[in-house]
Amino acid sequence: MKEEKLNKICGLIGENLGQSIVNDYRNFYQDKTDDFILTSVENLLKELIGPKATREQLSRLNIEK
Amino acid sequence: MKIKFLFFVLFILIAAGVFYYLEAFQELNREFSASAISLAALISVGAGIYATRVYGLKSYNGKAFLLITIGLFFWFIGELAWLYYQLVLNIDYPFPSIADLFYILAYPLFLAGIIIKMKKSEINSTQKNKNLVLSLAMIVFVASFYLIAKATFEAGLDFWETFFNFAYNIGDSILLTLSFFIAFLVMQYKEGKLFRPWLIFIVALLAMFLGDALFFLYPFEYEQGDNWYYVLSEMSFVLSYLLFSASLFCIGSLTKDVRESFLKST
Repeated sequence: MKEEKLNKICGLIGENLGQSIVNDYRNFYQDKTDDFILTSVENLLKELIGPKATREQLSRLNIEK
Repeated sequence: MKIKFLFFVLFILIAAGVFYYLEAFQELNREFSASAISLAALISVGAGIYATRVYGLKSYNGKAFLLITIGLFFWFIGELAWLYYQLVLNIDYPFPSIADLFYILAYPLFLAGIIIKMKKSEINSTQKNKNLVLSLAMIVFVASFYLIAKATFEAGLDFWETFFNFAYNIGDSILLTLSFFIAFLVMQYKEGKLFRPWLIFIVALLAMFLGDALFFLYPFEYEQGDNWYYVLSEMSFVLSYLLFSASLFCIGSLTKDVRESFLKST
């Protein structure tokens, strides 16, 4: 995944899951495919804030699978 | 986590029940009441610090929780000041006093915290819903303004008593409006783990509103102490702080659980 996209994803993770964990996620996603990352973030957020808010937040990032 | 959550709710209900029993069926003890409220307020500050730390101050969630926590801290200082008047200065009903200044200061902080949360979450509510909430808030504001004005003038209160009565009226209308707006957030979070903690946050705001409303609508009864208005008002304050504690603790704890369980599983 391009750095810019990864930054957006990590920003979203930081806002929803806390800043202290962002680097761990960044390292974990570094060598993963776009599809894997987006699915994984989607599942994470769904668990925490539900599908509706997750859809909203992901659509605002303007990143497609 | 579900068990932890249920345990926490059960603890709050038992604590509130014990408080209710001691208030309603034992001899009037204002110091006990003020001490219990101060302790509950302190717990809520601790829970707020925990939630703020989980998110970190760089995130909008962290900033929102920081403002809410400072608001709770001001309420805690207010409760301590109230207790000081009762325990040390032997004033049973210290209103108005320096405690009120701290109580009032908390409202704009709560407002700012929730606005940050709502704005950055970009809660998707229609203009129709927003208008409905604002209309409801206006009705509540005008109705409570009228009732408090009536109670204030009938009681023949002095300038500062009147000033604080109306300041609280504005503050409590803010609390109520906030609880309507957080309802939008809660609706968005449906099926998510943060749904219930935010629902509890709304109940906490409403309990604080109820406690304040009883305090201002029945000043003589509150001052007298040995009646239902007093017990219900004090009980609402304790319950409100405990619910704030539960809500903030659960928000922090659930968020931590989700992020860590995911990393562990991978």
